[in-house]
Amino acid sequence: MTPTNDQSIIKAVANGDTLAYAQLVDRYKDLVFNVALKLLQHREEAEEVAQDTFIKVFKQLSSFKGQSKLSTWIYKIAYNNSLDRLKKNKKYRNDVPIDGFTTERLKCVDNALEQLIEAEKQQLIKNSLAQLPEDYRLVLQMFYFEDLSLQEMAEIINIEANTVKVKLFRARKKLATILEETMQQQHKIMYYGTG
Amino acid sequence: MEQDEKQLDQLIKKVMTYDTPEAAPADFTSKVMAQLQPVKTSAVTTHKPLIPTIAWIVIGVLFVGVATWIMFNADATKGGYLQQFMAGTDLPLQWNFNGSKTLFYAVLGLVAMLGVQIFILKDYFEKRLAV
Repeated sequence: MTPTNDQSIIKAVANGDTLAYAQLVDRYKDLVFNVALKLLQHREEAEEVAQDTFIKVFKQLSSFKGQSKLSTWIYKIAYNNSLDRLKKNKKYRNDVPIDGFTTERLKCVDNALEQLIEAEKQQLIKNSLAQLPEDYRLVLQMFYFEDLSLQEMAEIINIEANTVKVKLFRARKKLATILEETMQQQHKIMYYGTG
Repeated sequence: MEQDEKQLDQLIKKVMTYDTPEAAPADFTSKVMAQLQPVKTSAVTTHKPLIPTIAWIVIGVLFVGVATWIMFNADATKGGYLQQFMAGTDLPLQWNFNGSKTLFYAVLGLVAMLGVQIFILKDYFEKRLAV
């Protein structure tokens, strides 16, 4: 669906065609659900927040002036909604210290990852990502999955583009640190056992 | 340093391919649409102010205008049209307000404070209620 179609849906909804809104929900439901899931790490809660996001989008649709992309605008509402829920739950994650990484250490992490079989690798990466603070997890998703620019990310998170750049850099380092630690632990278990 | 950053970016790019986005539940859209019906009906009762903004602006301008005129033409009010008019009637309207300067500045300060607070509160509530 092209942005023009987004516009025609907005017009149809404004003219009272509520059913047209279902198309918009279909188009952006995965995006909104994943934002909520990345931040909340809980499927049921993420679904609730995603639904609430679409209710808010519907109520505010007439105030959307097209200054940004519709997806960015919806992303922003989803992000704020998820943050509100996080604050309500007081579920802020632990802080993992960031290490300085050299090329050698990065190669070690990369090689160790390569030696794992696919299923193990996927599980290890999912576990490592789950240990990241919510905002770091989200910037990584926005950058690597959604292909959003720093400017778009800045608009969603409501901070300067330069700050997003720093956040992204710190998120990468943090994830590398967690991966390294997780693999070291796994290595110890493999060679020395749990006892 | 730059080489390290590049390598870090490549590693994370590779790692992130394993964290595939999840699909929303199959009945997601129907659940949202079911919740939209009450929202739509409540839109009928949208708040509309009794006195429009333009009327408040006119009232404000008139009030400030009259207050300014009284302040700068204090002498003109003595023995002015009102008193001449009242003198011709039997109404016992003989009020003569002589407040102290302190009282005057206190009232002025209160009005100024109220004026500032209205904007701060408006801004606060707008931010709070914004999506």
